[in-house]
Amino acid sequence: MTATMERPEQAEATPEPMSPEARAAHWAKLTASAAELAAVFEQRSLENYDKGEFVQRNINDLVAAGITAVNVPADLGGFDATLAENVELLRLIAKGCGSTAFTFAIHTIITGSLRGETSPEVKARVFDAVKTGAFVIGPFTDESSGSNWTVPSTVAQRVDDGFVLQGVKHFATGYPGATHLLITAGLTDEHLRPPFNLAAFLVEAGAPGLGVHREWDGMAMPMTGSHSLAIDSLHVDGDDMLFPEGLTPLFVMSRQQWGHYCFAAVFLGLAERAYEIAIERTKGRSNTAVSSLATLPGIQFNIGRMRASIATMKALLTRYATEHVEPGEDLIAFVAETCVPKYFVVNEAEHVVATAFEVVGGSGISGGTRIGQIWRDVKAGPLVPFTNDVAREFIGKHELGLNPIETPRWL
Amino acid sequence: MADKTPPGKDYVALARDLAPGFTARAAAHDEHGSFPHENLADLVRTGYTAMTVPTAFGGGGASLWELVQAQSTLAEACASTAFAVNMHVHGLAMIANLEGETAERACRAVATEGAVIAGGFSEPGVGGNWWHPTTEARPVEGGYVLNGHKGFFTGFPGATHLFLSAAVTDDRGLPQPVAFLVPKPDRGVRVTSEWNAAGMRATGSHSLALEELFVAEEHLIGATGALPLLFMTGVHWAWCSFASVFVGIARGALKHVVDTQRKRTLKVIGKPNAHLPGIQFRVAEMKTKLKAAEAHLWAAVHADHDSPATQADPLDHYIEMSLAKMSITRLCQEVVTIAMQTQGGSALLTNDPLQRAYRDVVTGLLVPPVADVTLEWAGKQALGVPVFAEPRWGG
Repeated sequence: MTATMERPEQAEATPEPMSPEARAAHWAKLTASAAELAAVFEQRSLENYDKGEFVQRNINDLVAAGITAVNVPADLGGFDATLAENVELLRLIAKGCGSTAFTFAIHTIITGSLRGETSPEVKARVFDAVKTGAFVIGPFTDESSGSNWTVPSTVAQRVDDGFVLQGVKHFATGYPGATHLLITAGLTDEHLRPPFNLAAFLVEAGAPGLGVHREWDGMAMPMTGSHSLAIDSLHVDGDDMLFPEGLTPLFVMSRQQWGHYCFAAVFLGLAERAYEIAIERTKGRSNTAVSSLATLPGIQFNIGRMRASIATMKALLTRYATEHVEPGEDLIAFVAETCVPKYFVVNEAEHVVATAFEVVGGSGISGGTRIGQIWRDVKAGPLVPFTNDVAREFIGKHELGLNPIETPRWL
Repeated sequence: MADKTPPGKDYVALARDLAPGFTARAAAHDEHGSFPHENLADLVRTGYTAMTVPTAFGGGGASLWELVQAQSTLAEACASTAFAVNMHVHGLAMIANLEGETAERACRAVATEGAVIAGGFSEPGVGGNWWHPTTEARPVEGGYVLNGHKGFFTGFPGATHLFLSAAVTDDRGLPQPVAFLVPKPDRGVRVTSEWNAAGMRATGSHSLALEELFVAEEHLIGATGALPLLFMTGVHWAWCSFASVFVGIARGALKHVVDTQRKRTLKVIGKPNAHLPGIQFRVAEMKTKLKAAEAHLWAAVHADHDSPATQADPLDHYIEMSLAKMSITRLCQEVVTIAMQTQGGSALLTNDPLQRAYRDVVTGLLVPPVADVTLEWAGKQALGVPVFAEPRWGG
């Protein structure tokens, strides 16, 4: 693993930053590629959703289009995409395939987050790899943790030349396509208590000690390869620890906007596609009883409702992805604030998709339809972090002047 | 669109300054259904009512974003006052855009004489179809004679000028919408029914009869028949400002619930109610919906209103703004409904401002644009069905 610490020579010199014109042109190319690829991904989804085949070809296409490298920092010669730009790309991709967008969101969140205050060594190590096609994932749900990352069950035992990791990680989205993994674990050192014992390690795929515990077989997002991983005596070097001891929880909290807004973008994209499908399935269609389905008031009103909901979701996510990006002084308040668009969008998206399903009607319920796939995928929204319950707890407690991370949590 | 227009007064700060006085009087006006004349006098005295008069005519030239922030601040204090003055502040911006002598005269009257405009499109039997006025304008020597009925004439008791829509019959026998801005006449306008409603009780939204009302030619505003198009291109002023009032109500409801639940302690738990998960979850719902409403309002205000593309497709612009108003007012109504559930039985007591907010906020669902017409138009447009084709529906 130390080999990846070697920085390629080309990265030594600081490249010229892109001119605004060049940046705008590149951005136009990226969004056009994302939209074009979404159409291809949709076709593949129709073929592979029921098989649950991992979206490897789609990830390869995203790498080839340069989309997986958008977060390479400017000082390393990259596009250095903003959070709002990442959100836009995810939204576009999600219109074609929820599994691809959600898998890519994990890479986006990690690569987007590992800029900023991260050490130059960490940045170089991650982004030199990303520039040349690396795909990074980060399973964050420990066995029996109830997705509460503050109390990890995966442990990191300090040894002479690094650490030995042991545990089980669920929902390792993107694992079959990963070149690198960011793996969290609780340091077993006596002087560190949860959550400050949390540490994060950069591990290359295929490292001895890393294996599949159970293959992913999801009712929603089936092509994400979200396997459960067995981490068995996985050795990592001291240099593989990404953040100084005790600081990982602060890093995680100060990057919560990435997780929340990127996830929200996926479910917004699904809702938008559901809306489009509802229109496509209605426009120009007739049956023996109705000469034009589009002239039915019930369908028109449903389309109107979806349109209004989507406009609200877009407005909210755009506002947060541009205005609520920097954590500021009060980290807890910031985390609570970032929950707002995620909580709203994933739930509103479900309503939109359910309405689209109604418009499409009985044909949507038969096997293999896109609307059926979207209907299943959108169910994952409230379950991905922060879950509805945790989001409500954070937003509510903070608004009421209570500390959401204080324990005991309840009376 | 610029958020702040020079050299300007800070109208949001002014609204904040006026708010405590309005809050103090809100309950009494609500109870008696009385018009808040003293609030309106404050708004005139401080120059608030000249907010949207162009600077060239001595006004503040406020942007739409300033307007919606100021209006939502007023609405937190007294929704009726904010709504009563809303026709005036947003209407003036739209009137000023029409240019011409009538518009200029009105703007100068507001900036220098404290004129206040009330008006509306609502008529009995028209429903939400405001572009089909039933009030008749009969051309006569030197002007027109108006006959018809107006409903929900918000702000009538405090108005010095009335904005009146009507229809003239053209050469082909077809009705053409027209509008007039007239000094409040001594005769020809009769209050047929004083406003006495469950919500927005202090808005003086009387019903009127226009009976052989003579209106001089000079009070005609805009070209005959052009009214619907002019209204559609400038509609962001109307629907965004309407929505802002209900955002203010919802924001006030959330603050009130949070303040109360942080203080109220139940003996059985020995801590403020804020520690109860049910309270926390509901507050989270309220906050989330409020933020969504605020974000949609922000986006609607900052949408591209004036580009050639937008002006070339006024119907699309009108529909987008209507959807925004519909979505925002729905969310605000949900916020206040959840506020009632969070607060519990005490919210129903007449001395709790929440019950007033609950009655006021529902108005948002009912004021133009009517949700059913919005849904119909938005759906038809998205489906490629001509919006104004007859018969309206098939099947």
